[in-house]
Amino acid sequence: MRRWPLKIKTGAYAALLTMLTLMVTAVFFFTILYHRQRKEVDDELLDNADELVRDLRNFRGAPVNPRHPLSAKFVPLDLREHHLMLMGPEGQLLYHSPNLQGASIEGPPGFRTVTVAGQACRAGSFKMGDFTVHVAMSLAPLEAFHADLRFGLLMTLPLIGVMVFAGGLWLGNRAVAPLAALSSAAEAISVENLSERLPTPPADDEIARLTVVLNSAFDRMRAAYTSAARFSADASHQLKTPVAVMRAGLESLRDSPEIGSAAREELDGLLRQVRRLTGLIQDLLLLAGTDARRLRLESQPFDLSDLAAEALDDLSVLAHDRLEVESALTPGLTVCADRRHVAMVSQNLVENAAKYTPEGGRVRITTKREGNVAHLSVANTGPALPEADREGIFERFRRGSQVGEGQTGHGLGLNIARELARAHGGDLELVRSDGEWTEFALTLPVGV
Amino acid sequence: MNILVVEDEPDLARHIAGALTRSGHSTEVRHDGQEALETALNRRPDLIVLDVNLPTMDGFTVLSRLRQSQSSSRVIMLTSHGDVESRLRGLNGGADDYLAKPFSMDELVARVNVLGRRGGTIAEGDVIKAGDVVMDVPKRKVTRKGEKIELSPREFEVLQILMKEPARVFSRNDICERIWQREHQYDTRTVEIFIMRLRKKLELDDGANLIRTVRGAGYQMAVTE
Repeated sequence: MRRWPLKIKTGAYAALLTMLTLMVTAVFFFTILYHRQRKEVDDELLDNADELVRDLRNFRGAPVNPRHPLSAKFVPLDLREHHLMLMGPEGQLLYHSPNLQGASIEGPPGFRTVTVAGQACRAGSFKMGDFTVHVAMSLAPLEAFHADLRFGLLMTLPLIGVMVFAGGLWLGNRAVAPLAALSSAAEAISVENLSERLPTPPADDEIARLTVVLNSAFDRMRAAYTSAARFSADASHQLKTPVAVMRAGLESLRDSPEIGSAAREELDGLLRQVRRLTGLIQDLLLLAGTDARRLRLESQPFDLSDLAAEALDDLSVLAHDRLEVESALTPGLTVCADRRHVAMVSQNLVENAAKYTPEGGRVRITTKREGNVAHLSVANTGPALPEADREGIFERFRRGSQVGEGQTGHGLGLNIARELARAHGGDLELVRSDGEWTEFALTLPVGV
Repeated sequence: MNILVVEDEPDLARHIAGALTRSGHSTEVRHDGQEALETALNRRPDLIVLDVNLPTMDGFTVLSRLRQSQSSSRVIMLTSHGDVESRLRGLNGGADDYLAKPFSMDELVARVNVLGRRGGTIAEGDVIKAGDVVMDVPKRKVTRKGEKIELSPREFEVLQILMKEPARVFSRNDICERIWQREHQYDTRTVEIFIMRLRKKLELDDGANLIRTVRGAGYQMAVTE
């Protein structure tokens, strides 16, 4: 129930509540009705007894003998359907209606419900002068009437439930519609179009207030986002100039004739660090671009398998004789993307595979097409990645926990690779890592 | 060649001027856009190394003013914005070349030499020749005396870099940066292995090498067209 849409819940609650109310009302109403109707029966019993005694006191102009048994002719016509027992002053039985079939309906004065010949009856006993009248009438018609009422209620209750549910659904829909429109509009706002805003409804209701609140939240988000993205872009640019000076200075120092070979080696090492720093700055700048969704893509169609062949070529050198390299490439796998960026992704995967595969292991590069998606996967044998690391390896400046201190790289590679894949409408995922193979797959939409 | 170096960072400007002087050019340095434009218009240098971020007037503006005044000086733009947009802006504005910071001084000197047509040429066109080796770039095919030589993608790229500028000596780092675009795990030893493989495939009949090792500097084509 918790997972149902609001309108369904509204409808269901309304239907349930209505049916419950209806049932309580019906039980209350039916009980009152039943008591009222039984009171009428009681009145009728008293009337009948009264009529009988009045008739006996004045039967054809004279009272009958209260000590003499009576025959059916003394009983008024409308009393003959009822059960009747008539007693004299000393309690002797004067009349016993044949429909009692010998059963007794005697009882203390007042009303009660009895069973006569298997039928529920209302009985009344009245002492009227010399006579005591016991009269009873069947409750069957009353019971039948109430059974009908109950049946009718039972039949209409689900119908009413359905109707109220439908009504509730409609009402819920009407109430929720602006919310649904709002949420789909809010959903459409992403990093790419952070400057867009939700249309504010003209009415001054809760929805309008929510819209205003959401819009101001988007404003703050956009401001924070752009300043963060601009900061990393600016910082990277600012870093480039001093690095350029360092590189130029170190190079001219290295090339100057006064420098000895030991110092030259030292300078080469420093230059390597400067190039590493350059790589890091370029990566940060690239990430600033993907984060701000401002990455310029020089997209052009190319064969992903050609790129895989280059990666294989690199791998053949990186693996030396340490690893076994295999491939299964599907030629003519055209994608439309920025080749430099996709090459960065494949280079990253190949570098990682070469780095993390234990000696004597295997690395496999595969390209294939599945529907409209081109796959490039790089798999290597070796121990499985710990479950906890599987998403973490795609995070910035984080590497798998099993990675030792000696490993190179600044922990941005897989993150950049994934961002680049996503910037091209594709993705980069860890497909398997089961102790046998660890496989990463780059997917890109097939280009024309 | 008379070269005007325009760069607001004094240290970088000094190093650029030093490297260019060492390779036989005469240089003059300016740190400011406005001053640079005046100097360029008065002295009419053969080539200008022009930074984009400059005080008083940015590099793009200096470039467009120069072109408006029919200046024939060649221009290499330097910028810290390595993105496509500013590269296009520079080249469309009339720059002859473009270099992203931080750059290798060898690269800058090589490009300057190419633009000055002094000791450096870039082989144009789809078919490049070196001795009896012919490279068809669009078809990615290499033949010797009409016989096809099977090269792996990276071997082809290395050979292409060397054949395109046959007079230039490429350091391992130059080749590394050109092939893989950025710094990473591929150390310069990877380049050596590719060169080794290439040499094996391209060995001449008399055992001579098509690719020459220049000690302490790098590699160069041994035969030109």
